[in-house]
Amino acid sequence: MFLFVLGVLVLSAVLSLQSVSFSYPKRKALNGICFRVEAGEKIALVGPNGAGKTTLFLITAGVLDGYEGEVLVAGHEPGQRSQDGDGIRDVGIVFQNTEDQLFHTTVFDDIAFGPLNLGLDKEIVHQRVHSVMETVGLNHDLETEFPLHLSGGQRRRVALAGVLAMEPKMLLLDEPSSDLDPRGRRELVNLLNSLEITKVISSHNMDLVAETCSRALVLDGGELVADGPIQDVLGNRDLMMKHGLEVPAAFQ
Amino acid sequence: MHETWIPGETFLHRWDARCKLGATACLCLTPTAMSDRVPLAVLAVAALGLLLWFHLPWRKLFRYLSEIHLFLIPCFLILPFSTPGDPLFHIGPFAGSLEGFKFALTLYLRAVIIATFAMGAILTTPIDVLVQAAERLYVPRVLAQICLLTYRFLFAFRADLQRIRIALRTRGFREAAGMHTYRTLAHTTGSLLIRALDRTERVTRAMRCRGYHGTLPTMRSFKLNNQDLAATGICVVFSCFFLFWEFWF
Repeated sequence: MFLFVLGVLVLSAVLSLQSVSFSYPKRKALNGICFRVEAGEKIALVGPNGAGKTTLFLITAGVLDGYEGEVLVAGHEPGQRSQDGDGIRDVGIVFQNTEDQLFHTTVFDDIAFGPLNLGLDKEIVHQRVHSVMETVGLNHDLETEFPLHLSGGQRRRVALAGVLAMEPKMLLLDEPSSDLDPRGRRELVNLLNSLEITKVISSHNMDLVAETCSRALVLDGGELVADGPIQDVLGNRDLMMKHGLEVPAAFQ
Repeated sequence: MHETWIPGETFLHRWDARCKLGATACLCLTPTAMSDRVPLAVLAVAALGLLLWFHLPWRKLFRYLSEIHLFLIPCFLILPFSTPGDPLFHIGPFAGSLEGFKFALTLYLRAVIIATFAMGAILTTPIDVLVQAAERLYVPRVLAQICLLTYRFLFAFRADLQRIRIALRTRGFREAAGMHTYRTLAHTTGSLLIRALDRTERVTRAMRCRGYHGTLPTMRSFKLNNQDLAATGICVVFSCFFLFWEFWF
């Protein structure tokens, strides 16, 4: 009975990590990471540089192999398509540097790239592209623009739209505000708060995660050092100072 | 750095990209089979006239064409002195031959014709459409993808180079003949290549995360109409006319 309940719990989680470790050739990046993410949760992943946040994202997205432990995304290994969805990929990741993520020569083609890779019908792809452009607040006039000619905020929106168009169950955002001005950051906060999807946001911007997340994970030296409600974790001055972080203005 | 494509409503813009590419290939191959300078000169004028007739911006056209002179002028500097024949002029002890000058002129005309016709395709079609059209014309998929991604990341590469140059200047670096400059340029080149390699890995990851499995799917569908076919036929006839001129007169 206990095993059955445990099995149901594991399968109901959008993301489940059990003792996950990963090493690069000269250093250990992750060491025995364990946590679960339930559907609809909004999680902040914070930690100093080199803590292992991006590595954790890459493993979860299924692009980094060779890890130890168990990673289950919606009940199966990362990088696979859902068995129950209509060509839906479980995890969508928006990388820190949008310049590397947008590689097509028009905004439309870039957003359509993921859905087309899922083998969706062109009509559906059209609808999805238009729908996500509206969701992220992109004007349709930008469809034929060259992504590199857009502003940082617009590029960030196109990158997000390209991922949302694949309708993932969980969104991973790596430093989403790194190239945004205050207005762009404010718009991003509003946009993220309007998305109902499960989110894990990795950022050094404590104010951004305080405004968008309800739970926080602190990673340092490849280890998970804190996990709890965002106010308890980010509001803990000693914990924040010990791990090279700052208490966000909202919790001071 | 800006995109080369110029939006417009001319027939050249509307022409099916596959036909345009095929016709351009045919027109560009024609001068390579010609060596008589008279029909070559007529073809060069006709090529330029054709593009101007379609209202392509002549300033941009001539600016691009002037850039190829960087590679063509050395022909006139080297070939007259390296090709045996009747002396045409002397510079000190060196004699420039008439045959060498004629050969350089032939190469020059061929290059100008090829560049002009290629401009007609490049300036009127977005690069991604051209690459997709090339793929439909059985250009290997990997080659087409390499072209598309190279074009896309040239902009990022250029931006990297500009950042490095600014960083060098702000730290007092001025280019001059000497080991310090050569060493700095070598380090800069190395740094750019390493950045490009890192970027390649990041781009690959980003593409894989969005389901990339070796193909770049597209929403674009090409449709042929009678005008497209007629224009392609006219270009083939045009090419044949000049080849006929070359070989029978």
